Amino acid sequence: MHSRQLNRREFLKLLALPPLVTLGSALPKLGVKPLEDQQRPNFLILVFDTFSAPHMTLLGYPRNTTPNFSRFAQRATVFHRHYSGGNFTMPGTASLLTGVPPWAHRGLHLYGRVAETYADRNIFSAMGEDYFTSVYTHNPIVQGMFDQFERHLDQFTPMGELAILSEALSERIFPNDFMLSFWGERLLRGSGSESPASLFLSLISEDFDSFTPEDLKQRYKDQFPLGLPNNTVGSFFILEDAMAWIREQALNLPRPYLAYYHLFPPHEPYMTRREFVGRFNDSWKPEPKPVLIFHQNRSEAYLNDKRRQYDEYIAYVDAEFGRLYDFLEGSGALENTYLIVTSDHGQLMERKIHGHVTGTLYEPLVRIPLFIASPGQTDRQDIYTPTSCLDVLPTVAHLAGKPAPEWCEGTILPGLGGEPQEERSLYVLEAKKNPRLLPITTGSLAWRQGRYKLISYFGYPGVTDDFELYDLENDPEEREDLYTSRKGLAAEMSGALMNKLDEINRLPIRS
Amino acid sequence: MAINADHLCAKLSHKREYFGLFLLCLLPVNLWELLVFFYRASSMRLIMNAWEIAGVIAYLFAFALVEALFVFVLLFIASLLLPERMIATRLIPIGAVLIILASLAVSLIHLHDPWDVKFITLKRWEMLCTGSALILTGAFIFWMQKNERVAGAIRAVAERLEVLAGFYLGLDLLGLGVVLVRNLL
Repeated sequence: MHSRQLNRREFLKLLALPPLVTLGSALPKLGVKPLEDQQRPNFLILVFDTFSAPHMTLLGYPRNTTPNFSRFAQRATVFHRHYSGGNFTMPGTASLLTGVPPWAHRGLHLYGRVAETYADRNIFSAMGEDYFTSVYTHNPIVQGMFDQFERHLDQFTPMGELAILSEALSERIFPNDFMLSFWGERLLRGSGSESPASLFLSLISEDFDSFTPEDLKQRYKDQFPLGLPNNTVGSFFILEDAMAWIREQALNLPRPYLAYYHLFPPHEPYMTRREFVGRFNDSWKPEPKPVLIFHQNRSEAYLNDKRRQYDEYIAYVDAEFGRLYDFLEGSGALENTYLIVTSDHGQLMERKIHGHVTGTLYEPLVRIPLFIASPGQTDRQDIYTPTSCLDVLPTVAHLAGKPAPEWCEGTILPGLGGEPQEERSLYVLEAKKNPRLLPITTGSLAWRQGRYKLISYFGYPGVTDDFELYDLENDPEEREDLYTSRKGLAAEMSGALMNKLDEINRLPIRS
Repeated sequence: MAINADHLCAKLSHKREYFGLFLLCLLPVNLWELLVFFYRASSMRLIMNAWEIAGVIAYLFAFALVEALFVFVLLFIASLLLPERMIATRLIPIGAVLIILASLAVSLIHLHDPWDVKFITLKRWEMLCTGSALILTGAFIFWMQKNERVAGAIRAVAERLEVLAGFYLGLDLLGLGVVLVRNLL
């Protein structure tokens, strides 16, 4: 073979190559637009935290909480029986973003993390290098997940960027090690009734904390008389800022893009805008439901008041979403863009329980909205077969013209390329008391199969193999537990669910 | 008392005394952090692996160093009011008494959650409590000042505690190193 030595000029040219290649690969990370591809669709995913589907007017709620979502739904696919993977942010969002159930991704705990395998197996990695990926969240739990997925994110906007005030120092000082530093900060500051680990400085911090929000409350009292919306861990924001920022992103992001924006409202505290305060001071009160397990001893009056506040906060979310939707429509930003609206989990205000930090898995906690407006869609499409948040990832991949990843356990959504599966099994898991890397022996597992839903509570102190069974077709509000009256069906389904749990626990646990 | 440069330099010559005082500041700060950490450790164990928990402890240790430094600076500034002779003989006993009493008071505030004391906006009864504590502390320091045996005993205890505090200093520096490595590499 003929070979020759490089001369000095050629050698210098070669030396210039590696920096150029490095610069080229870094361009998208620096915010420089890659080549525009107007043919492939964009995806704008809006997640509103703690948005319970049963509280939406268009899904049957008696209060007019969501007129703008109803308007949007006229040109979208509406999934009436869509389920989260869990009953709080970590499992719900992790399942949405990874397309696998909680027992696989192991995001089981508040401020937990998903198994490291899923740092490269998620909706952002599934879109490949040819899609520009952009994320933002008000929620530190989701921020921790973004940290794990960072190598697949082209634009990762920090939580504090859209906050009026962010008291969390960890994000600003230690952006490269957010989750552990956030945990450290939480311990040092203390939370709720927990003593702070910082002996002296926490006192001063408490002093300043008590001043600043009050000052903010005064400044914004005309718009937000109840106080400024916040994420309960020191970040204060208004939805208007987030919506204005999203508008800008929808116009300017390099195409094709996948944008995932996870906004905190209507998660409590319910700090709605002035015009919605008292909007639902009506006489409507839902019929009390049977109190079965894990009750917090909340009175009906308390729960009804919380329900009213939650509904009024939803009305604020709805109004801001309406403004955003009108802008996106009017500006042409949706011409080649799928607009996906969903949530991570719901909220419960019944059975003497308020909130979502509970072991229960009733419908208001786990049934979440899912609306997908396709480019050019002019009519409403209603899907009544049960679907799961696991299905969003393969559906987005399918619509982008990519194969669904083989590790993903969801299926393509009906109405968007998938087939309706009436008898499909859907599972929701809550296991925050179970160690992350051990088999699931303490928790709650709900199984929806056709018209029936079985909930199993296992491993809790004082609870031995407790089950509830509901016929959701005849009893969508889960008022009548059929577990004792339908013995045959109950035995068959509980046996199958326990087998499923055994099967789950035989799977390898990824750390 | 006027503080000029010479006066300050003379006081700063007592480096050993000041270093001892700094070590004493490390003690309650680290002890409290470890107490709270172990109280929460069982819930962290559910979520994190051993390395992640070690990472969180590193942040706590690194912060303890900052917090101890903050307390030390306050005491250092206060010590500038003392005559030079007292710094040589009484700095450690007085500092130790102040640190121990302040730590006990603040621990009580943290443990008794409903008190929710805000020092910048003290209520009347909180002002009474704080005032009484300050008067008692002042009286104790005055008594110690007059009584060589009490001062000697406190100094002896403080010197023995310095060994333990030195161990915490090592851990805090290690924590700081871990935090720097995790964030810079």
